[in-house]
Amino acid sequence: MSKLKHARLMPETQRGVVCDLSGGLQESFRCKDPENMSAVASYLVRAMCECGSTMGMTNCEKISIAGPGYAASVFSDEKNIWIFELEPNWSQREFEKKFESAQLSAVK
Amino acid sequence: MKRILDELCEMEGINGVFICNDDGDLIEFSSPRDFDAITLSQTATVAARAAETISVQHHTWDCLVAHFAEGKLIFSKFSQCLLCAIAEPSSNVAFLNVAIKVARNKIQRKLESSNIAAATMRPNSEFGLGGQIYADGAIGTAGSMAAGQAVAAHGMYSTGLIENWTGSDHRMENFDLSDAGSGVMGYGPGEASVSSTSVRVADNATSNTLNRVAEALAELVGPKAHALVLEAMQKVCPSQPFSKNHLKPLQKTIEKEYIAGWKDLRQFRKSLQR
Repeated sequence: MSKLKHARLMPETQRGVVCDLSGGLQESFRCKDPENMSAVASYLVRAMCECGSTMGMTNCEKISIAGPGYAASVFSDEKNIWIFELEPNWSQREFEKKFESAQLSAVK
Repeated sequence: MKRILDELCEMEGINGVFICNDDGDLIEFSSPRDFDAITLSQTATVAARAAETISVQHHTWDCLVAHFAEGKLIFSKFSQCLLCAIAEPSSNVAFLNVAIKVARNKIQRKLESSNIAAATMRPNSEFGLGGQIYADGAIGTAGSMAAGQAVAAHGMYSTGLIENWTGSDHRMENFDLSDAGSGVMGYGPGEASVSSTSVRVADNATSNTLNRVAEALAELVGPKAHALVLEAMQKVCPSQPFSKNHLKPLQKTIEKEYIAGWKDLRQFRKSLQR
């Protein structure tokens, strides 16, 4: 089953990628350069995990990035990393909630 | 700066705050709890690397929140520095983000008032881990400007000022694109600089067109448009004066970097033709 099925249909998402923890691309939608996007996200998750473990925090579950006219959310579990670039006019927080609950119900 | 960080640290939900430069050197920190300078220094190095990584994909980002089971790391990028807050897992990120932005603006104002650009912030062991901020190059003088020099003079933007522009500073409301020539807000023939590198505009016609480009972009991204156009100008022609030959590549850069979606692209092009 597609790992991006739910996210693809959400109005907030511009483009999305799912990859493994080493950055190996698995699936993507509406991406010009999904390999690059997955590599950047994988590196970022590793760096954040390193930051966290230095400070006694484990498991980086989510990274929210925002800037002028730009928002992206990165989710990770023990197997995969999901990266989404979002429509700037939509709420990033709402999207993250929706995605997390969709993931949770998929697991159930 | 220490006092600003201390104030931020007193906020409910924040366990520690530090500031580092883009090389990952710890500049200043405040941590009433467990985190010592060595731990924060290690984190700063990795955080700077992570910040650089995101810039590969999107160089305009200014806020990053990493959520862990045991807490949150909130990063705010400004000039060439990174302000990081270590927060509790239950903390309200939106609320803390506001506090962090306020602290960030205060630090920037401090930098501006002393005419020191954050681009040249380097820790100095003589002053302890707290570090000392100093400028490597000429300060407050007009004229030629080499990359890396900190200049805050008429017709030029200090790094800090640009950052305030892109942030939520009240000055944005007074944003006047037609103020060409003054060098403060418009693209008059002369010099304008962003991120400590100058861009010259060759003639009046080009500066008028640049104003039109900024106006068109402002319809999509708001008052930050001016800073984005300057950034794009710097990319397109970092060394020579910006002339009409550079307008096409500038448009391409802006469309590629700052405009998301075909609808916005169509609107931008339409606005340019007006």
